[in-house]
Amino acid sequence: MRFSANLSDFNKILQKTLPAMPRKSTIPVLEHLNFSLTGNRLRVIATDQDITIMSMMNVDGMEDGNVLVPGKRLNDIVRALENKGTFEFNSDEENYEIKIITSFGQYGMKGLNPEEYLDLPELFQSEKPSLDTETKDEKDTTSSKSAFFTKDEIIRLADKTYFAVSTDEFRPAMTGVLFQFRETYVNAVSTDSFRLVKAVCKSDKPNYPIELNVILPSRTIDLLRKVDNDLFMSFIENQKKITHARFDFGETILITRVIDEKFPPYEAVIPTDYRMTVKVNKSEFLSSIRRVSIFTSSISNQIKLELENNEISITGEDEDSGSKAIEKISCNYDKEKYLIGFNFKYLEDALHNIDDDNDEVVISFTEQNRPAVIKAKEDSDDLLMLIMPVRLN
Amino acid sequence: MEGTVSKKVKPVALVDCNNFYASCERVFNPKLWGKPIVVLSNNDGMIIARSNEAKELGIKMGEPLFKAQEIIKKHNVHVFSSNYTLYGDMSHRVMTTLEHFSPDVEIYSIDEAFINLEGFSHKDLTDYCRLIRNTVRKWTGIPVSIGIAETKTLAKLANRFAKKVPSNKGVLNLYGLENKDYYLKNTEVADIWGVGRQYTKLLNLQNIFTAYDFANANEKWIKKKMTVMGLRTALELKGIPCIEYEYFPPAKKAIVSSRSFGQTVQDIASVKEAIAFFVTRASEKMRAQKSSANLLSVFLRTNPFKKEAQYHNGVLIQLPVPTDSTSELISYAMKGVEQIFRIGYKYYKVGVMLSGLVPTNRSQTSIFDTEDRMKMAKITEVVDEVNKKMGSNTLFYAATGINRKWRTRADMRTPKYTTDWDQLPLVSAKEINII
Repeated sequence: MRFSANLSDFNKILQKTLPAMPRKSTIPVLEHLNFSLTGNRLRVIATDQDITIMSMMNVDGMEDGNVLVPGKRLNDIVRALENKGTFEFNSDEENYEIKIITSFGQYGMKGLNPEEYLDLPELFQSEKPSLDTETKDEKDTTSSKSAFFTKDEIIRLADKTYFAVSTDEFRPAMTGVLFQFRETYVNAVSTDSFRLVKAVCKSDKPNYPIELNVILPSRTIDLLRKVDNDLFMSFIENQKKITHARFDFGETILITRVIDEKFPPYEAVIPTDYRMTVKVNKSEFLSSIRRVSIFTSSISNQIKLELENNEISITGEDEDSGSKAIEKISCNYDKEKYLIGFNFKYLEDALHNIDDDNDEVVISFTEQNRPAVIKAKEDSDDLLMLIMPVRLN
Repeated sequence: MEGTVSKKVKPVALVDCNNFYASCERVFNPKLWGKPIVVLSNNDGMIIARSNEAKELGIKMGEPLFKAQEIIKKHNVHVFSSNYTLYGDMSHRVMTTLEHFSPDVEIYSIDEAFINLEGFSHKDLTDYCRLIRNTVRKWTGIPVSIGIAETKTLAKLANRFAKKVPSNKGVLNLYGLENKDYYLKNTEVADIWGVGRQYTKLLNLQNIFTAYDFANANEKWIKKKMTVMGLRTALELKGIPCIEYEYFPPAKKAIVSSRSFGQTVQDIASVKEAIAFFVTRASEKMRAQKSSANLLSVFLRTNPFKKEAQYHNGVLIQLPVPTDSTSELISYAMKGVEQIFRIGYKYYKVGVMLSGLVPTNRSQTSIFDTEDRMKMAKITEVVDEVNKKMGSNTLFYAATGINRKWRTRADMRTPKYTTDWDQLPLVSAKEINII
């Protein structure tokens, strides 16, 4: 196998595929990238068995072939070459010795026989859909289990939900983001049982599967936050059950195992009987929380919000160290005094992630032990953040 | 030197009960004074406390009972199962007595307390501490030794000499003594408060054998190898107070309740009973410090010292909501037992650990919580209240069993002299004629 390529382009394909390669694996072959060259097309595959990424690029091909390349060492040398100029990649088909030749010098490493790599044919058996001429409106995906997202749409859904995903492996359903397809809209929902986020993507036309629920693992969501192209999402089934989701974007295919669990019935916990709704300036509120939180207990992270006379008093206190802080910001509330406690980190996360066209957020409260809901606007349902309170003394 | 004394250093005393467990046994059985005594661990397995007389016979700390049987028989050593109810109550009596002598008493362990003697400097501290010593002895029957110095670490060191050197008569005052070299040179590093076995090895490798060597060792080296905690100890030996008083003990980060069985059990029902019992105990302790648990661990094991099929396993359960409810914890623990229990083994020890503790009154609520927590809290409160008033186990969870055949063995336990009406010691008097 022999080819030459621009280092900058080559670095890009590495950065696209490496996230799927485990740094340390019980199966050493997975710590390699699977290279194969046909003509001028180089294909690179990485997998950790949960996520598989295949990406393609054009190179100056000189000799077709296939080899497994130690991923970390290759990445380290490519980064150290600082994207300067071109290089030649050379591996012999007998003992898989790899040579990288640059204007600085030559670097050698031992590759592996590609036959040792995992068999992944079932994942790539369907043809890669062509997105070159498609636009969202033209694409009719209602008849199949597939969906189209623009780059901005998928990044938004992933970004807004990622932070609230649970890390608790005892509740696997919550370690991912639920995608609820409902023909003309998609709900992306994440929760760690202390807060919940629902981000909605709408379409004027029936652009999504009629009714389909799938939970994507948080690592996949993290990768979707960084896609650089519009994306086509489809599903791989085994005995009529969805086992994998596939994302085609640009010259890359990402295939991920889906979480085969039942997502908790979240709709029922979103309150509709709000007792009050207040508007606050987001930046002001966030700054206050940041300062007051310095004085809270590191065990509970609790801050207290007291609403009265068109003001919110934000109090942080740590009885053990004797520290205390209080700040007041204005809001539009003039009814009876209302007191509620929150983990300041959850409140900060929610405020950071809310859409803020006019730097204003709307917070709706019910009762002291029931969730509060944060939105950008009162009548908006594009993005909803729900936070459970912390018990007060 | 990293720190210097910036103001007059206040005196601190360490009060340490002499051979505490053995002394507690003697209070209610005066015939035992001067006789060798040992106290055993749970299940009467190992020797965990010795009177001076037993120490002189060569009985070692932590020695299994069967190994010391020969000496015990030969010298008529008195052997007792541990009676923690008695020791706990006696400890409380000692600490309460100390509070008559200073408003600031830090209870460091069941048998040790630091006393802040600030404001008593106008008195002769040696005389004052002798008064404390005599009063504790008179009011509780427990002999104590007292060391006085500028820092807690030096007070600990002084206490050692107070106890070991008879001429000190139980009190040694190093406070204000310019040159403490004699005491520092005659204390091995292993005997310094805060220096454990591994640090002792490390220090000895550097030719640091005594407290004097340690106090004069390179401070940068100490900080690098023993962290800032090690440096604090070294500075304290120089008379610079670095360790604050902790008048309110910090809440525990984890609570373990575990025992080896009096007899091995093989059936899941008995294991479940025992686990439920330990959950009850651990959750009582947790509620006493007003905490709730995020995590529950359940573990079980066979006896590793027996030549029979071996098995041990544990399971960590993430609770959906921090809880202090015994009934809720029991139900999760039962699921844990079902997960790890295997038929065909003789189980010797089981236990539970509650961790990820957070203050109950500031705990995070959960979206998907379906329990009525107010109701649960009320039930738990009532159970705790009844048991506090009417005695432990008056109300108990049926899951903890009734017969409890797995119960820990304590064949040589003395009565609960001070905490149970039915077990109060009887005093009889007879008329004698005085000629």
